[in-house]
Amino acid sequence: MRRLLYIIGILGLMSCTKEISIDYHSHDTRYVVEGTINNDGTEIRVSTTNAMEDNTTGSDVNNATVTLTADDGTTATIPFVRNGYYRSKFAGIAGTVYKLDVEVDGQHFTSTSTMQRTPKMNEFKLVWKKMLTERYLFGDLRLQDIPNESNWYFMHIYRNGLGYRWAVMKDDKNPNKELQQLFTFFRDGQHDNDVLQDGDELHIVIRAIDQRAYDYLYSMQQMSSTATNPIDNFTGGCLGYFSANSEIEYYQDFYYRDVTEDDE
Amino acid sequence: MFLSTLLLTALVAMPITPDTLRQEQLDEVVVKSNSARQRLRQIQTGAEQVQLKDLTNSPQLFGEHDIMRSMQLLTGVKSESDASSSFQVRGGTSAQNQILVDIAPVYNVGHLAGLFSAFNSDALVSATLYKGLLPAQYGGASSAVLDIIGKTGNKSEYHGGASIGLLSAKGTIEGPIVKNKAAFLVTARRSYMDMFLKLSSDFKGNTLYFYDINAKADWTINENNQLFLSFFTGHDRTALEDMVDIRWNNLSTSLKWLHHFGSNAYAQSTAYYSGYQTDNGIDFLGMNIWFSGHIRQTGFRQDFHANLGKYRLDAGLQTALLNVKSAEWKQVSLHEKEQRRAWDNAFWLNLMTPITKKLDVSAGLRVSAFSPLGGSLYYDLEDNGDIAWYYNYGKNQIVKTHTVLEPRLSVNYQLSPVASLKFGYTRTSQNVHALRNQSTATPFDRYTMSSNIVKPEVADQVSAGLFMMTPNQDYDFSAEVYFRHINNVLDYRDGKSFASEIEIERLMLAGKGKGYGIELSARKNNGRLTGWIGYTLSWSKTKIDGINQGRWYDANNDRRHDINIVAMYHLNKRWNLSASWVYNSGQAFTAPSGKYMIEDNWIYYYTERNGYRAPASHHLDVSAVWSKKYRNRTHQLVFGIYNLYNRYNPFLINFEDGEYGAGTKAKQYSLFGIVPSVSFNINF
Repeated sequence: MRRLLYIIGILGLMSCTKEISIDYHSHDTRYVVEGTINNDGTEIRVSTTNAMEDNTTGSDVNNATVTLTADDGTTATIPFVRNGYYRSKFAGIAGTVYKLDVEVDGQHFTSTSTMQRTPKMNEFKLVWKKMLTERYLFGDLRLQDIPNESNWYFMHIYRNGLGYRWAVMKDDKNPNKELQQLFTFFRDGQHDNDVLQDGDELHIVIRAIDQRAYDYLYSMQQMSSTATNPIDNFTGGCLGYFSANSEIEYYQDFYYRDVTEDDE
Repeated sequence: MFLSTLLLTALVAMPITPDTLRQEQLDEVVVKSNSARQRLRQIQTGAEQVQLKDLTNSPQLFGEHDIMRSMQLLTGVKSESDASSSFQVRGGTSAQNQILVDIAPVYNVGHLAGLFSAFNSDALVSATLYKGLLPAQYGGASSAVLDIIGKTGNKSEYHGGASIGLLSAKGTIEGPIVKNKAAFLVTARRSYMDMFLKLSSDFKGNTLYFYDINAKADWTINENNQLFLSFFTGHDRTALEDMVDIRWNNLSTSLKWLHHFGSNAYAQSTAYYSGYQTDNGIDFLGMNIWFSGHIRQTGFRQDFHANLGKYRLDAGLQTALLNVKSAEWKQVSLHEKEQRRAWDNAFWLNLMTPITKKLDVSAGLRVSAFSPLGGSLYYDLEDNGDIAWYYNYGKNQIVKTHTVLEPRLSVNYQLSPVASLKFGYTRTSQNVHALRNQSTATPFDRYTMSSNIVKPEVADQVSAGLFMMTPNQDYDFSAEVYFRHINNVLDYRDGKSFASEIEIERLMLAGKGKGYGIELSARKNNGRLTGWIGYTLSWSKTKIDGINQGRWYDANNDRRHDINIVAMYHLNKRWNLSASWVYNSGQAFTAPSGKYMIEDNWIYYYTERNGYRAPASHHLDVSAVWSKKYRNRTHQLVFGIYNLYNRYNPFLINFEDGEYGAGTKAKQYSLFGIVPSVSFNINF
């Protein structure tokens, strides 16, 4: 879909866009589990799907039983904290396979993930790029691939603590060497809350994830083209995914004066 | 809108010298657009012909006289979208059609993302559309076949012409190579929007053009032998400075030898080549991506025809080597490619004969044998699409042979001199398959062939119709019902898109489809006012295990109602007026039914594929043609308005999040509002 829009857009042919009303169908609510274990601990969020017209984020599930089991036999119950979140100091170790079990209202969901090694970031820069008559701001993130193994990465940029942009990639484009991920931010002159302001804090989190988590997140990244749900990561019929990952963080305050101009 | 200002086109039309054999065949088997009696008596149900010389009678987009758009105005034929050149017939997609230009297949028939047809009307004589009910001499498509015939040159004298418009330029030259023996015709067209881009400092680094070239030569060796050499190429390029470059091109050529055995039999031998190629590249802030694909086919076809008393016999065979690259891509040091070859064979026999004075029958059998060849990797798949096992067959080793017996039957029972009943049954198969995320053709479609995993698409269609006319042929009416069932129809697995894997078979699942409907048509054939009203009520559904919980779902080209109204009015010897109104009820598309949070993002939750309907689409197009004849030439001014009442029809519907999840918006993207046009034609 995006590709087609892009082609038509650069041909200058799109004469009109307008918002249309859709009579969305009702659906049977499904559980959503989003789980991570990293070097610092474990966090699981359990929620449910919302109706399309419902924009509240309060569909939290607070009565689940969450259990994490490592392939060395270690088991921990992850306690409920608040608002659908279950947290523990149970930290992951690279190379270990973890199994997440979630029981709620008689339903049982399971997923596994293998903890990966710690990724390495080379550079993050902000670049203005002119396209036709407009300038667009891009984030250019460079990673150093973990050598001599297959790797998959999840990169998430938070703005002032809220998710802003994310992407996944695998290292097959340039194994053992530098990998690049571009993020499109906004058009120069755009006026809405998506536009970065001087002083905004950008928090970049880079996770080395396993292939199962990558497959889930990649299919989620493709949803505007596929118009289907991401591939299943859990057995038992819930949405969401579980990832055991090592991660690094990088903080940068945004200032327009720091943005470079691409002169290619 | 940029293109809406580029609408003055000057055209030069050339005298028509049809390819005699093909035209001769067409005259016998195809309904002429203005002959009610022939429509009534024609055995083959569901066949329609458009004569190129009649194209100026109906309004056209951008002032271009376009055979594909004329096809879309026929009853039972649907356009893919507001401005697409491709068409859909009886529940099939455009990828399930086969389009032949002088025997050679052409795969992507659009210029500028489908806004213009790849076919230059100055180079063509006529086209015949078979809406799924094919005589045995046609195959390779599970839906429809469009057989286009190119124009041959004038054998007695030279003619030439050129046209220059704001949108594109055309040039044509034809004449004898050896007087009264051999002739040639060459016509070329090129858009030049890129010249306007260069006038702007902001756009001068961009490229946006297409061109096509048609050439045909024929040589009458003696009264029994004739040779035809036909060539067609079309090329599109859209480039955004050095950042994005999108190209696709078609190339087809054929060499045909026609030999007559007396007056009642002939043989036709045709060697042909067809190639379709896409190349797309992105070079952006250090990120370099390139991907491409192709379909290439080299083949030979032998046709025999004999009139044996009351029997008319058609027989033939066809053999072709296919080479399909489903994708090749490069990104930094990654380079992946999937390319396979296959051997495609078919032979056929078709017999037409009257059984009684009132009953005519056409019956035939086509046998298709398709063999994927070794030399590249084949594999087996797990249920989840992972590769379970690789097979490495030797080069040209037959991996598997898919054989399909395709019976064909058409019956015409003459109820009275002014009424007939028709019935048809056809089985067709298709071995080149397209995989699309959307309902329209794009350069990002991926193609594959039947293999050890993918089976041929096999469609069975039955159709019955009642045809009536008034005794003076002023009016005729038809009603046709059809049911079509198709096996091994393909669709994307959930969560997969064209670049998810290089191995295309990992992206898709196979199942079955069905389409059914009724097509009603009323025509007025004579008088100052002529035209027709067509209405189609149709359903198109798919069922694939692993998609939509294994339940039947509407195909993404499903539309319930289609109405075409075409009117042409001959005002006086100078002025002809025409108008067409097209109405399509909402097309099926997939929309979410819920949403949930992952990583601070709203993610849409889909419960059914194609479970929603887009808004209806309709537009009124009008044109007025002023003509004046001089001693040796004719001038013509064509004024047109596309979408007279400026309706913004849906082209795409996209869902966008509000800020921080504050509401999901469905946005409709439209291509055209009102588009006026004017063109100037000289015929000499």
